[in-house]
Amino acid sequence: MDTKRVRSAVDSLNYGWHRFSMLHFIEHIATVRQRPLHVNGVPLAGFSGMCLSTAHNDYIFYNLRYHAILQLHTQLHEIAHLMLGHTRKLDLDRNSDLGSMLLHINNRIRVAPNDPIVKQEEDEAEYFAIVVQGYIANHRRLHQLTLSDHADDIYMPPFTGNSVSGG
Amino acid sequence: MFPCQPTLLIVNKKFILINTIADYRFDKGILVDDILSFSDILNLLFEHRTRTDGTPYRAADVSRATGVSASQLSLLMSGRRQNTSLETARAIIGFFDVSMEILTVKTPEQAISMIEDDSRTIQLRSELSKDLSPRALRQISEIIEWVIEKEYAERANRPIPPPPDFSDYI
Repeated sequence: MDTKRVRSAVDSLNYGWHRFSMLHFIEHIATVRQRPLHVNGVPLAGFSGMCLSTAHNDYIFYNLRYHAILQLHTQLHEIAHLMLGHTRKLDLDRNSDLGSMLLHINNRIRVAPNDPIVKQEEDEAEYFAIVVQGYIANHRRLHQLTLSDHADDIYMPPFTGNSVSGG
Repeated sequence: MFPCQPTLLIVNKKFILINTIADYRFDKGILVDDILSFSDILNLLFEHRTRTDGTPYRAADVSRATGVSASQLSLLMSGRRQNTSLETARAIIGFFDVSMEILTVKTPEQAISMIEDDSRTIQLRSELSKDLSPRALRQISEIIEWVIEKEYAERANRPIPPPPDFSDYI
């Protein structure tokens, strides 16, 4: 996995991480990609999420029944696929259950196959989601610390002769 | 980019209103003799852009969705009428979700290539590394069908269909 490429993709978003909310981030991604991104939380049947792209729109569906942390992670993971260009145009495996079913719906659907490249793309998407979550965590905290409500959190207590634990 | 409204051009100090497909082609500097007729393009659209189940669209489907009368459509498809307004052309070509650039192609092969452009296919990514249950497959199918219906409705300027009812999956 090319971690440098993934990190560079996250950095190139030029996003103000201290302002992060999922909705705000989705709007930012849609602006960067210059096409609508529809993200929908639905009760999915035993899988965490899926991503669909058509000529004009991107869609992400994630499982509302999972823990909030996993919901966030899934959305970031699916966004990663869009941002990292994981959109190879490949024919369906007509013999698989999914392939035969989808071809029945629409003979122009393409599904990413289960091959080593997909495994690599999944790893990259996971790494993208982890990097983003790291940025959120860091910036969110730093921003909070600069707010007056949290001012006490960044100043050391007055010197009393007793050293402060830590470090 | 194709103009959404009629555009005024100044050519040799004459004002030309881009109002029809002939004007549009003239504006692109294309000789009418060099390009595929609108009738040929329409017939290729009907032949190569099918419904989601693979069956062909009927003229009545296009007429109902676009508001272009069946008789006008018939005249255009047969070639008895060669020119039409941009509004009509945009409605018909938009129905088939093809770029208006198709009006400038020179050969049937180029037109078919545009019609079958893979960029307009649906790309799906899910957790394919593990076996999906029959319920999951059914749900993915419902989601895709809704997306297809939704985008079709948007193109045809029809109300967006309600999303699938997932209460069965709770």
